[in-house]
Amino acid sequence: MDHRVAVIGVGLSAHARRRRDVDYAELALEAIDAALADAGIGLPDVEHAVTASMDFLDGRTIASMSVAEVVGSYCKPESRVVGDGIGALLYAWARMRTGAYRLGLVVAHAKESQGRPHIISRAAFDPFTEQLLDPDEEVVAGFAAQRFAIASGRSAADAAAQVVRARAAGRRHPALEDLPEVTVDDVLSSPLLAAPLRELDRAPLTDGACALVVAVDDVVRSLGADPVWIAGSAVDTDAYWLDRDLARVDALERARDRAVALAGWDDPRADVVEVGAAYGYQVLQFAPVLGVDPDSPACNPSGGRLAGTPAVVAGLDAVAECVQQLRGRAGSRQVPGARRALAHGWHGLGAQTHAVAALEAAA
Amino acid sequence: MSGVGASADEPLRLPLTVRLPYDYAVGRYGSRFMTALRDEGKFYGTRDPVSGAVLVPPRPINGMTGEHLDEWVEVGPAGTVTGCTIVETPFVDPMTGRQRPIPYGFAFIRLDGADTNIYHFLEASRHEDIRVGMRVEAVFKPRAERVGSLADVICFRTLEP
Amino acid sequence: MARRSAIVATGQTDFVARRLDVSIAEMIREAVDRCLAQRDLDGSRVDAVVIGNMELFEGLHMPEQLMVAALGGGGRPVYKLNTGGTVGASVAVMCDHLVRSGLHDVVLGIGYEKQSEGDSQGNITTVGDPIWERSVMAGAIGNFAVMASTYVNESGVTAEQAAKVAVKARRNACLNPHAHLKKPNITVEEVLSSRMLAAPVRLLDMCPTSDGAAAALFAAEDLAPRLAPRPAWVAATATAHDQQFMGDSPRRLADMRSLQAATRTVYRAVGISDPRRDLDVAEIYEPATYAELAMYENCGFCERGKGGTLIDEGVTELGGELPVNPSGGVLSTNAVGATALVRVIEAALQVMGEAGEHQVPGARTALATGYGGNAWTEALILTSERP
Repeated sequence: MDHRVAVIGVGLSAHARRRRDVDYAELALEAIDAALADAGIGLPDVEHAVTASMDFLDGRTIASMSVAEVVGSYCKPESRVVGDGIGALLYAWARMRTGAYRLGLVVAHAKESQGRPHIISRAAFDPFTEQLLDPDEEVVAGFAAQRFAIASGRSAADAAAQVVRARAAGRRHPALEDLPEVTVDDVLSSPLLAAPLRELDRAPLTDGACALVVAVDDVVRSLGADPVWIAGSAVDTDAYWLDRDLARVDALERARDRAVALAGWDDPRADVVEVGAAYGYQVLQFAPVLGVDPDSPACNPSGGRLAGTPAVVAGLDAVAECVQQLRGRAGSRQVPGARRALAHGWHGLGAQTHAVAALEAAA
Repeated sequence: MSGVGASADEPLRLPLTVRLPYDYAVGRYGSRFMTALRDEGKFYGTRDPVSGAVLVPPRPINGMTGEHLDEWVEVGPAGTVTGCTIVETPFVDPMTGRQRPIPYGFAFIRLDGADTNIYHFLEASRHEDIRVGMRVEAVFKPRAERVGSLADVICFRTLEP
Repeated sequence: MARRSAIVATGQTDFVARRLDVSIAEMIREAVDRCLAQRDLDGSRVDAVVIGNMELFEGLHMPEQLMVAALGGGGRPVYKLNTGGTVGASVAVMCDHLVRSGLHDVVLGIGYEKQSEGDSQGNITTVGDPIWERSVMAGAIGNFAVMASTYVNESGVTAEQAAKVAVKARRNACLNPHAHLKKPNITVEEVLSSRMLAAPVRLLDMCPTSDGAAAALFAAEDLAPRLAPRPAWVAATATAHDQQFMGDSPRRLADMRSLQAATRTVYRAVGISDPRRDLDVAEIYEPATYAELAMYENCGFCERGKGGTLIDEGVTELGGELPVNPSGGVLSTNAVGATALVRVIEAALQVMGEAGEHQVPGARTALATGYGGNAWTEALILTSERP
């Protein structure tokens, strides 16, 4: 019954602080064209698409309407999830396991530069009890960073070191805009964002898109593609940030457990792990849960979000990096001998919903 | 309120205004189209190299065929009304925040040479003056007032006597 | 063959113009509670939640994260979709896919909207593309009026025929405890003399805006018969989009390409060759009366141009050969995030034999459709028999 499903094409748009030169369709098409070329197929070959985007980020109801034509959805199915791009991959995978669709596109887009982040994230808080305090996601991150520091004993300098590490890695990634090199001291002395977080602790606002071509097993064979198999994927949602201990990561643990169980991995550890971290402390918090040492070369070889990938797209970028690693096509970022990878993304205040994808290299 | 456990005899309301400013990139295709509107007073569409379809608004992909569109062709300024109505219900213009004066004409217009329609306003504002199939022409703002937006076109005027 | 899914329980709030008495979270909870209570189920049975609404309509970003407690609490996956008016059907389709894929056994689908809490007209403009459409929008009404004018021009359907659709809907709604607009004494004359909004669309030709929520529980093949006496089996689903911009489709209603594509896909999947004969009931997403007439044609219930004839002959009345929208349809109730799920739920109630006063006797095969954005379409076939 179950088909195996593989990623056979990967494409990233040029990611930058501001992509003023393109609208959403053009931005997504950059990624899509690259992914289609990588897979060796054309847009008319695509049978279905699952996209990820957010109305509040785009300032548009049904934000995916902007990319309807470039994902090839004319008289074809496209469905659109609101959340991290790995959620879109999961849905595409679920629909294809049954053979309902055989060849598809998964696309995520976001332009963090076009809206006002403070106003957008403030709209995620309870209108009756919280919004009048004028909070935003940085405030919740500040609380979380504080709780994590107390619970783990990790220092602000440890977190800052992850920022330094990420920027260095990102400079090896051709699709990401270079970020200025910083030191731990630079991070620790940058202006306060939301104590204890500093401005440089946070991923930079970014515009970008990512596209993956996914195919079932017999299509992979008939195309002679270079596949990376989706072995398992899971999403899990935690309680609202006020209702839980931000030092805990229950939803990530459950998502990891289910993804790994679906993949049939007795050992949950992977050779490459792309951790979804918008702040330095999150690498420290999430990496161990995903079975990797945050300072190891196996952790975020792309640099991840801290190297400049936007919300929503970040998880799919993480999958893209894992795919290239498992194909041995990660260039100067290559982790040698990578056979298994975990990609992770999240959304919601204080990382409320987590998504994990477990990937395997071709035999 | 009568104390602990008071029921919602008087359900409360919380008025809240969310102002969401955005700064949209018009994009490559949009910028070329809007620049032509502003500087030349002309409409352009993109042509599918295989099917020959000319799409307005111009765009990078023809959704119906999957072809990349790189060929620009001038369309209009005259066109044919393919759907039309007289709007008689008040509606706040999102660009000005003010209600548009009613009644006003509103239509699908297929610019000459295009295979798709744009929406725009009609100069006509009475039912008897509009019909599907009628010929219309764009009325542009004076050059000095054009900024590179669809609003550079005021409306479409009937060409027929 | 992948395992099937079936709808085993449903719940709807009673839709009204303004739910002043409840918060959004409470409103969602009401629908969820009614759904679970229908089969005396505990929320712990739910493995995952799929939910849809238009975030900008209430001005709340990621509301399902905020209200997760109302959805049954954290500790399970919550998937959020937003595909416009069709989102309720997208939710149903995703629930079906998730169960069929084996990822979850029991999935709760939710759709809701509390439009009274937002600025409806302003909200509709956010559907338009900011560069190409927003500055020349005339709201949903202007949009439908222009589309209707093309259709009327081609098909020759009359205002009287459209008015008959309005009468059917609001009278059927009287038999549906959840429906918003109930008008037992409405007549064609009343519709024809209602205020003209934008020709040819009059006030009573348009759907209302409603506050409300709907929930449907999907269960895997082996579980479903244990949870419901007569599950509504999901026999086929399809999704199809149209072109990108509102003006792209020259004959928007006359030639609804995405609806044709989606319905033909599901008909083919279940072996329906003559939908008028093979379907027992249809719950279609008709935002306006003229749209319903056009949808008769595009769903294949009649030939091109004959939508008006179908309503004249009473074919789609509750007692007719193919009742369409016995629930009262969108014309009676429209809470955007919920509406397409309500179509699926009403179709499910029909084949479950639980549609009460608006039950089509002996209904065993039902069509449900969703419509959103630029004619983005979903179609589902639900059956009494396991396919």
